[in-house]
Amino acid sequence: MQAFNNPVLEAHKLTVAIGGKMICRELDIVIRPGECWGVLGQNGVGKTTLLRTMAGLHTPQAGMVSLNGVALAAHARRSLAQHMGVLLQNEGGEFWGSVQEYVLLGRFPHRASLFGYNAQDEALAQQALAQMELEGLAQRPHNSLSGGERQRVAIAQVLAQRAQCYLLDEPLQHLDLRHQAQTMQVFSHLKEQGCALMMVLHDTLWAQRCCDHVLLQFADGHALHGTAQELLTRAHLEALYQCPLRELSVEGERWFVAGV
Amino acid sequence: MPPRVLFFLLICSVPLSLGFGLMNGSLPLAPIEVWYALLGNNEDTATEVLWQLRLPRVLAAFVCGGLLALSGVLLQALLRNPLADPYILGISGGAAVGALAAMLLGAGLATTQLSSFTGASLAIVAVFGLGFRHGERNIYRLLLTGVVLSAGCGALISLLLTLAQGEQVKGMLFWLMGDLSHSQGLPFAWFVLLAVGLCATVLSGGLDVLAGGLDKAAALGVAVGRWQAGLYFAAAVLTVTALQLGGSIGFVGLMIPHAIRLLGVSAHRWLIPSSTLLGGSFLVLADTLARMVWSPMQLPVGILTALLGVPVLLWLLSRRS
Repeated sequence: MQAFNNPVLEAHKLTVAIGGKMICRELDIVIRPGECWGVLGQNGVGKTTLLRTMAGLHTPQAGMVSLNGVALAAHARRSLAQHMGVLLQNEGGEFWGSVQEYVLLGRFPHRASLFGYNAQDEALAQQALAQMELEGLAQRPHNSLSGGERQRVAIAQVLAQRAQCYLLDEPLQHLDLRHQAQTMQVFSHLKEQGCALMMVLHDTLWAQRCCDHVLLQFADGHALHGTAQELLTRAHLEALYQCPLRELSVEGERWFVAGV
Repeated sequence: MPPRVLFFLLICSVPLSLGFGLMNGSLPLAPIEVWYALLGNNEDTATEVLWQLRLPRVLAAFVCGGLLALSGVLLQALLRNPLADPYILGISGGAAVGALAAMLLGAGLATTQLSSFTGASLAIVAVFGLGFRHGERNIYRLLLTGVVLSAGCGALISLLLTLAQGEQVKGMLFWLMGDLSHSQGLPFAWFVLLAVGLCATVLSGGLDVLAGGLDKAAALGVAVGRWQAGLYFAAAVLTVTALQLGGSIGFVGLMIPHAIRLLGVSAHRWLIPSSTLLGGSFLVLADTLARMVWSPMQLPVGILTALLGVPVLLWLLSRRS
């Protein structure tokens, strides 16, 4: 039981800057199994850069990130990818194959042989497609998908990775309401299974429903983090987004709407 | 088309194209004559022509086409740009400047080869040194450095052509358009093709991941920087070897990978061997026609690759839409 609750992902005195802009200063966070962290902030405060740093895709100015107690830099890229699934906001690649082939790439870090994917990989890819309700699209060319479909397929690829922690940059972008709910349900399920999640969100409602912790990133490089319960309040969010908000209470949930 | 079927058809195309190349030329041979000459029992003209001229020529054409197509596949994966071809990074520009400068000075074949090799190597090192940053996810710097260097080489090539005398110009134009009549170093070229082709096929899973975006590839466990450097040098070696064999033969490296993709094969595991086979067969066909159509005069093979390839590719493109 002790081992179960050991931190999965940690930031120690993490200082990140990009292009001369300070993203965060001496940030300390600890993400444990079964926790879901929401990252909120205005456009351009560096949510993506922070997430990329946590994923080992961006080198911090100072401090470090560790996975299961070992610094990211000490992991081989492949072993990192076996434990950590990353959903990027913009992949910037053109994939010429089918949706199924694309999702199968999520198994790349777990591949047992150089020569291809085995039946288990195929089965897990198929399962990930099913989780995202994408079975009907499996044979479609990936570059013929709509924005929302492409996003769900990208999530399916990350799910196929069967990681221990997931870093998700705006997982709900381009998704319609039904698929937002369906996707968040999939993430909640991962959480129940003991995975650690960190996701950039813009919707405070989803943050309330799914995240137990939140990290509020402010424009000057300082950040607040704590439980969703204590931080997702009107005062904090107004300070965060620098705009007046109206608070509605519906069936015990707090909704925040930008006021004019 | 299922990848296995296409691959099987391409395997079948190899003996067909080689046979076609062996039969045709200024001395046409019937299939049975080719067969007897290949067995090499009698000492007639056919045997002589076949062993001395045609066989080395078709083997050179095949390997050269394979090298260019494979190089094209690797560079399109590296630069993630569908317009990438073996010459986009200025390697052929460097080789051409070297070759043409030697020709202008009246050097022989060996010196010309050496000089073009030197030019290509300098271009490879310059582009890599100036354009590649380890760990940088953006590959445009490399691409732009190559394109800029190519433009500079283009100006030097024009200058060398202007300075050249009548008969020299023709030799230079043949080099620039690609010509397989002076092929040397055939065993080495085959070795390079087989070695790089085999490695690339074995590592093809990583290429699929890389083509999907560099950050994504890193997140999926690919050591991006090392792969980029490896791909760059593999493609450079392939290109230089092809340039040494046949000058800068255009079109093959750009279009063959696209032709395979348009036929529905995009996974690198199949794309690499299929493109290599198609590139080889295609160049044998083009080179044979280059020897036939204006016989006994030979045309630069680069003219034929474009004239044959353009309509086929336009048809494939329009068919898809």
